[in-house]
Amino acid sequence: MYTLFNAQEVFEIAVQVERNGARFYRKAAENMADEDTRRELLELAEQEDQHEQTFAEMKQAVAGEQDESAWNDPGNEAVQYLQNFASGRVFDITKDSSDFLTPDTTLREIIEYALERERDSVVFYLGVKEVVPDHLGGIQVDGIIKQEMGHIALLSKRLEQVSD
Amino acid sequence: MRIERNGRAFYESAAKRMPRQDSAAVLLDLAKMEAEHEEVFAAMQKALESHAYQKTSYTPHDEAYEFLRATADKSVFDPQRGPGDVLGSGSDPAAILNVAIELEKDTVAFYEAIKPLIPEELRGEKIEAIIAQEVGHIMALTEQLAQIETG
Repeated sequence: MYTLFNAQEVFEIAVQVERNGARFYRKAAENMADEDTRRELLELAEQEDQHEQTFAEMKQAVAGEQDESAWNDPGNEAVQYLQNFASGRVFDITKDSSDFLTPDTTLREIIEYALERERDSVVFYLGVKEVVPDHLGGIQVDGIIKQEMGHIALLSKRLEQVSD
Repeated sequence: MRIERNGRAFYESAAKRMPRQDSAAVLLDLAKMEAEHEEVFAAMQKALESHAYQKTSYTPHDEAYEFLRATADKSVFDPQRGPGDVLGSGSDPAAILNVAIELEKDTVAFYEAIKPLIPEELRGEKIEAIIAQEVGHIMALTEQLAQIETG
């Protein structure tokens, strides 16, 4: 059976993914000499903040949801997957992405790392979308996926412009 | 279609190397599903060719598509690289499953990028269904990995 504890846990993971992403982009922006790139990184951080807020609201909504049959995961398989996914087997949620950044980290390295994290987020949220009914935020998850794809578009465009 | 074709070859090769029988069975199941996806994409390509569709406008996903296509081309989908090149010479079950998970992640992200580029009347729910199935592949692979790691 599906448990509310698991549902809240999944959304808490999403909150942490976004918080982690925002921290990464802010730290990357701190030492960025190029003003345009710095602004873009801060914009990405702000969008991750908004996503964090959205997932926090979904977590709250789950807490008030009493009807377990409303969920699309009667066998609890998808939630188990999401927990496996975030346990370090697919990406390590406990790892602070901003630790990747050192004074010597190049812009290319920053962008390539960010692209990998964004791809992982998209895959994770596609799994979340599978289990969350629309009235509890499934549509919002879809919107966040589109925005994360937009981040991949922006970052990949910047990657093309990087010379080192 | 190349993604699915190479994906099937990858899983068949990975299954042969996999020393765990249950994991090998999962890999062979995934190979069959990739073959089914190839048929869906072949039908979609045929429909696109006979459709008057011409992509004329820029979409925000264009760069994502280009990047993810390039990423996909460099991994298992590179026609110059066979499954053996991707898997190396080892037969460590966790290593095989980790390679498969990374390749599936590239696949899912690529399909998510191409989704808005195909006219809705042609793609219908097919792309969504395939993405959901590819996510299901990651679920199955991750479950196998969890079983190995927890003994």
